Amino acid sequence: MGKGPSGQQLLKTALKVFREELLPELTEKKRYSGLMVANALGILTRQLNRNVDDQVQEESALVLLLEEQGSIESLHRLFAKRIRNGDFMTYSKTSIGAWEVLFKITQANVEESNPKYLEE
Amino acid sequence: MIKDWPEKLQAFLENRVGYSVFVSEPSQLSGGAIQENWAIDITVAGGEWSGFHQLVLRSDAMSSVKASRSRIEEFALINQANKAGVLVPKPYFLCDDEAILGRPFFLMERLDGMAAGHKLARGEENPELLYQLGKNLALIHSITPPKCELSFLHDVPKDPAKEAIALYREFLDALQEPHPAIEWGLRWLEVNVRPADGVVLCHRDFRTGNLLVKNGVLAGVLDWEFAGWSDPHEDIFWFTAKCWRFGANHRPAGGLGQREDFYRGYEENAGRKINRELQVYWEVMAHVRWATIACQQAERNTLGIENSLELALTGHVVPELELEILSLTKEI
Repeated sequence: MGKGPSGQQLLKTALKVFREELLPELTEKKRYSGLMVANALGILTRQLNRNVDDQVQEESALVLLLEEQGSIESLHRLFAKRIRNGDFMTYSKTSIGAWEVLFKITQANVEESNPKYLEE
Repeated sequence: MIKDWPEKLQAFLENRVGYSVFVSEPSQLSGGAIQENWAIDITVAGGEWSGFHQLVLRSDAMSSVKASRSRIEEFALINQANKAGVLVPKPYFLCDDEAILGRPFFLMERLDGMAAGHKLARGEENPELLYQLGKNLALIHSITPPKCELSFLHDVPKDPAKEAIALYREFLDALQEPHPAIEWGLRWLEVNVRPADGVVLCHRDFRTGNLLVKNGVLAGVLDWEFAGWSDPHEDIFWFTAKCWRFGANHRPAGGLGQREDFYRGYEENAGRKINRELQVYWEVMAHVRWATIACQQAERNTLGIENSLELALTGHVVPELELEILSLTKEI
């Protein structure tokens, strides 16, 4: 006997009920709040579904680029510091690589926050 | 707002107009994470204000961002814009006495129309509206320093772009999380900086969503809380930046139509040409600025200063702003 639906599955079903059954019933005044709740639940669903490998890949790309070890947050902090110091703003292989790493990380964040944006 | 504030407002108004005033039940208007707007109808028994008036009461909300102006300053800015011929709600009464409503507020004319950006961007393309918007922006930019009525504004910047870069870095340093993509944009802006093309009064949030439109015609320019002295191109390309097109990317002028209709309205009334070569530069600046403000707003929720789903979701706008910064700055 399994443990029943996972958190992700429950959330997916709850979001479907909210969007299809509850949201249309809300008054005009409450609709904006309803849309915000649906948006937040959608983001949470995508966060829970995010592949763990993606985070490992992000960390590896940063370690390779910055030649430093550390947590994702400390690597982001170091990356931000080096960008401000001007380490990547000359036309070079490293700068292009830095832009590509940053673009890939940001694209993954957009996929989580607002995937429709990538279709526009 | 403090308890019984409509009664206190009535007393304030009666004191100002010298006649008895009936104040209707206030109704909160949507929008404005940084300030509150209330629709109020008043009926004045006599004098120059005699009769019925539909007003908006504007006061500070719980939330604020560092670059936001006080209501007292905003009142002065709307006054100056009105004198310069800009279409704005007429500003009527200012109250800086916090004993009345618990915070400063002002009352202004309540104009009819719609400002909702996503709805306007879904309508027909409107070249005449864009011309009017260009013209009104030119009228705002006709206000130049020095201006004693606006002495509260920061010193006139010698180099607005450089000063903006320094300010946004200061804002980023105060945040809990690092933001390498915004840093990338700032560094690019620093490397590619161009000298200022004059300094004028800039609205600094002139975009679809803050422009009241009725039947396809501009009714008024709203939300003056970020205004300050800057390069006119900051306003021009804030309006055309992708983040303010509400998904209508085939209409680069605010999601409403084409750039040249907006530019024509501006150039024919400003007596100066828009430097189109500065478009990418100031559109990068627009995304950097909005991303920084969005981070500040989101952090107010994260740190528990203000528990607001709207502020929390603003943080999820940041990645798409960052993606646009990177797309625009790929060519180093």
